[in-house]
Amino acid sequence: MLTPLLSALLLFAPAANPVEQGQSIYRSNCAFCHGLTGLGGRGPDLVTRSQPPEEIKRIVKGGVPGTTMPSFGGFEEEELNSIAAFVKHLAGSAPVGEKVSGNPANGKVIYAKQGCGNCHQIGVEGGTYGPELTRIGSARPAHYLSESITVPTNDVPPEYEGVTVVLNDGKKVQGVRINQDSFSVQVRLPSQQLRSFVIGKDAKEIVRNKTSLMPAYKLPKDELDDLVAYMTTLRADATTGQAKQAEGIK
Amino acid sequence: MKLAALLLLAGSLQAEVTYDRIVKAASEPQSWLTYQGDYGAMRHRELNQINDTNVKNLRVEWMYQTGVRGAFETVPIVADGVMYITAGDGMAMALDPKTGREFWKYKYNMDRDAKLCCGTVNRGLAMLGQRVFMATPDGHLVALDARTGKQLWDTQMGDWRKGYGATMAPMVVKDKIIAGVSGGEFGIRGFVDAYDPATGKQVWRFWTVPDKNQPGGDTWLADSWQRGGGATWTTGTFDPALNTLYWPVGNPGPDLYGESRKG
Repeated sequence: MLTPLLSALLLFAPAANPVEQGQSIYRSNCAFCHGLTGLGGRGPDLVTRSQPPEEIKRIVKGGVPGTTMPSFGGFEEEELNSIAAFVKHLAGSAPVGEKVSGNPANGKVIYAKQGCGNCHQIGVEGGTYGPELTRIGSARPAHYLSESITVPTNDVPPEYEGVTVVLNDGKKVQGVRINQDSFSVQVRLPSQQLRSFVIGKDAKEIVRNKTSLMPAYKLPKDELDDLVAYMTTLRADATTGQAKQAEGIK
Repeated sequence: MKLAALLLLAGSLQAEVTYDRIVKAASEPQSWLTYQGDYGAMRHRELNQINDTNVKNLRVEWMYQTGVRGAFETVPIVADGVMYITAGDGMAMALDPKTGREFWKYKYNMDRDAKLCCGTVNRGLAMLGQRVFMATPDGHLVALDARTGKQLWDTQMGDWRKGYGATMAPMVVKDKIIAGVSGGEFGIRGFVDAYDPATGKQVWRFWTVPDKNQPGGDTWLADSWQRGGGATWTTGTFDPALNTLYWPVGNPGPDLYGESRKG
């Protein structure tokens, strides 16, 4: 590790350009979830609802408990400043965020008609087979939501990978893979039951699915827009007494 | 699409613990549906796969480490192929009884400043429908979705600032969750509570120490009843035929010095 003298020198040396330094840190640590231009992807867009720099630093350092945003506790103060500077720069130079066309009220109807609630929960309503959507509007940008509906195989969250268990009699059972090791697999079935299969006892073979368990939905464009518009309104916890969410994600 | 939806919904009705199943617990000896095993707390099973001729052949099949140090006093609930346990510190887990692998893990978000009267130990869960219920060291009762471990509600039974805590396994009786509290040495006035499993709202409370207007209230010296103890820190039993709940009541407070609470 750096000697105290060297680190002191680095600390006091001014950053050549905080935005430039921020850009290189951002590319290595943030871009694969938040997008190269901050428009989001597997993480929220940072451009539309821009936060003050102190808030950005706090979120980067501490993460957001209860979400997939980890804490980056290893950054120095100077690095945090440059990350915040770069994020503000992205927000500044971008157009006013993503315009979401579509009618959320009609989207809610489509959500029900398509049976999304069979696998997805909003608050306490719905199924636990797929990811929860209670605050999906805060967590993912509209373009990611749209792709998740039409080509869900493109980005399957690791916790929702599918697995096909071949039973001793040849029958196949599909489910969400909770754990897998050389001897057994624990799954969540479409009925939402939790089941375990031990190779050699309950099952012959375990095959990891190459495609998402969620089917691809081919919706006409206006219906897709409405559905996505509805999902972007899902931002708060619908249940009372839910475990405290960190601030920073509205 | 519609047919698939119906099948999915029908499927999700399995793996539900009902009051009726607990009353008839003896008819499914492979399950353990409540802390006491059944309402009579007999803890006896007429199973014979393991008996005095082969018990010496038992060997460890799997080990699960909770990651929580300290006392480990849980009694697992086993229902429909899943084992539900608690560890200390407000943790609950669902495990696979065949392999010990975790299905889900939950950690209660405890107030970091809370001064816990009675440690962080926990004796187990209650289960009704697709929900499990746990008491917390700082005197709360929480409900979790048994399929995912997601917290559904959080109700305060007693305020830790007044000496209340809870370590006991709650009990399902009909459509209510019955729970008690700890803290008999910490100045509490004990009670047994009943809660609505869907919302966490309190349905009734029975104080184990009477106030001046309740029967026996005139037997407590001055206002000593306000800190009379009588904690209800372990799970009771229930007689469905008599519709009667039996609940153990702990020591009075102060515990070993009776002068201030004569009567």
